[in-house]
Amino acid sequence: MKKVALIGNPNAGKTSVFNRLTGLNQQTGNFTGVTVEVKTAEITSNNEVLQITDFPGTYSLFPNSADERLVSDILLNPQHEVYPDVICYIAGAPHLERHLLLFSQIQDLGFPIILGVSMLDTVLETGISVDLKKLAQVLKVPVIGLNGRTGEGKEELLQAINQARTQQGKWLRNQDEQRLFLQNQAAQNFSQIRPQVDDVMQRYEKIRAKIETSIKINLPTRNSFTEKLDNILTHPIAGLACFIALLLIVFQAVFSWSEVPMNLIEEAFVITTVWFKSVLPAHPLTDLLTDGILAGLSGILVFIPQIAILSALIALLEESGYMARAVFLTDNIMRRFGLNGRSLVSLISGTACAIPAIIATRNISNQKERLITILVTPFMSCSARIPVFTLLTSVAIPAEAYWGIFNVRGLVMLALYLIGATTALVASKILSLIIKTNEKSMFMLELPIYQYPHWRNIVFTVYDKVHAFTVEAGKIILLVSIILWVLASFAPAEQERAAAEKVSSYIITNGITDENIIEQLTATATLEASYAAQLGKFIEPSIAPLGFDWKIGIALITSFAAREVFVATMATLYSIGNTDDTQKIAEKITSEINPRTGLPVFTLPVAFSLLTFYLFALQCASTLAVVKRETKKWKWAVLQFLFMTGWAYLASWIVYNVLK
Amino acid sequence: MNFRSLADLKEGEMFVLQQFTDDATAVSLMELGCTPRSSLQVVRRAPLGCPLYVKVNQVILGIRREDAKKMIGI
Repeated sequence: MKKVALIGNPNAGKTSVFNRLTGLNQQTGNFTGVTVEVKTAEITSNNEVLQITDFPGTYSLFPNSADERLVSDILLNPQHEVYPDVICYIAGAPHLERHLLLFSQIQDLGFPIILGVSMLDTVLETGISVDLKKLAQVLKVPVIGLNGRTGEGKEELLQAINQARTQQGKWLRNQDEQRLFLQNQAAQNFSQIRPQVDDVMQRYEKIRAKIETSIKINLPTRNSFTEKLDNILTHPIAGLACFIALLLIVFQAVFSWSEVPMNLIEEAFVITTVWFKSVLPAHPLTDLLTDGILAGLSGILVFIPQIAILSALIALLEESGYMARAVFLTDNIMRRFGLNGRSLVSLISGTACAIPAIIATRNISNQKERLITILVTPFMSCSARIPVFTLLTSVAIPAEAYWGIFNVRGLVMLALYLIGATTALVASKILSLIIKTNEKSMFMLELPIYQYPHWRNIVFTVYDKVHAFTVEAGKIILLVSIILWVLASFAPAEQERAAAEKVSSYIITNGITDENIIEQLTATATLEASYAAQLGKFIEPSIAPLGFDWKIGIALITSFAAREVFVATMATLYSIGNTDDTQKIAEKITSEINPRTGLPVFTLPVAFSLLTFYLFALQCASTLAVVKRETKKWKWAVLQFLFMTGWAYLASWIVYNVLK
Repeated sequence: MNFRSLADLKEGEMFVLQQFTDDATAVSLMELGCTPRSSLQVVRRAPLGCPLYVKVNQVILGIRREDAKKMIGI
């Protein structure tokens, strides 16, 4: 097997080449002790198996980020599992001189190397044309023109990889000297800057002299398309306005376009569940399948439309080159909160769903800023909180309450969103003061030329994100759903008997014959006697200060895995068959009387306390699973859960006691 | 002939980069194609004056003001 490394600067078109070479047969690997993910794929070409690795985009072998450090570390370590036999270096025609800097550093290391030149079709935009034949002569390596859009050059590239042999091109140092030089640099953690400055300066001089005859520059007389577009899109006022408009469109799309597919998925699960219940005998195993496994699966799959739409739109913004402009515009504002221009994209996406938003933080190169963004994004009010908010505001506030011309329920909803966003920003400020980092806090951003997106790349990105979510996060969500189902459906033998007796005596004394009502009564009694209820009663003393009773305790426990389960649990607890009718649940809940005090359970302070709790608490197993996946550590997921839930508890306590 | 830093340039102004006052900044910027003796133009500034939108050797860069202060030119 031949190991091939794809290396190049960011925005050089490396990903398109990788996708063209490998198809969907990609694996995301991560190496022990490194938080950076690298994609690999195995293909067969001319009877030879090639293991192709897509290295993170990097500007030179003197690293500025964890991504870039990985490239230097692998190339200096012949024992590494993806230490390449052949390097396929991708350079973009518009910035050939700069892209050859890293190329020359790698060529000095003595690897067999092939130069692929991409973006040759942008000559009209940039006025730069490249003579590939001449370039091959002066660089003494095979040079191949590549077009990620049409796949042109793929066969030639594969052939060159098959025939690749050791080359002896030399820029500054021979193979051993260059290896020793870089090993010394790495040993000092690249803190010796002066030799790096000299290295870069000398390389540029040699590159310029060498490629002078191979490139032709006809600078366009008029401003290029990119500059014209940037006059609007990076303008301090017009640019910000466009940015906000784009965000609203993305937000809207994630919410409204996903509605139909999400409903279809839920419908499909309802139909499947009903079908299974009708063909399978009534048995706990049937219940496990329908109420545990199927319900859990539905909870996972229902998020796919939102994840797919959001990652497609974000990939579109990335591919076209717009994302760098958004970062440019918001960097200053976000930096004041310890975040990064790119964090804003995640925070906005978080109002739809925290899961794709957290996955989107991979674009943030600074690890500290990325971590903070991951930790605060779940504070943004996601769509799963909407059913809970709707139910509780209708319990707390009469529909006809108006403040001026505004409906009070609507105002409360708006306030909840704003409080969530403010909390996210304040939390990131606090975290930025606590979390320490060794990374250089440097920010230099390349604004690439605008390009028509490569649709293949977008399809691949969406596939990758959806796949990662369903498989990795899915396992954990499914497990938690099954555990919760067991807790809610089984009761200690003694309690179960008591519950059954209570139901039958109630039915007899009231002469109930309607089977639906009997079924509901049984469900309520079972849930009230279940292990979940035991847990609810067990935690009652700890939630009593917030104004919650053990029934709310059950809902808190069952909705740990997903907030929206709250509504369904309340419906079961209050024996309402149809959970779609929020108004009916609200009426039932409002009339609930506490047997000890003789007062209503759901007073205004309790409703607001509960609203506050759901606003802040991290009750979403999917988010925890994704945070663990993205940060590679349970530590952050656990800390985040404790911090958010702790803050939710404190805030609810304050709200309850102030209003009481 | 007076030396100024990139941060002093008005929008639309150009200068020829002579040197960096800080080596770490120098390496990162040179890797991005911003080398001494290149001519740099501050095209505009982001909201609140930072980062700067800089054109150099057919590359467009976003550079924060504190880094621009370390870039000296004529």
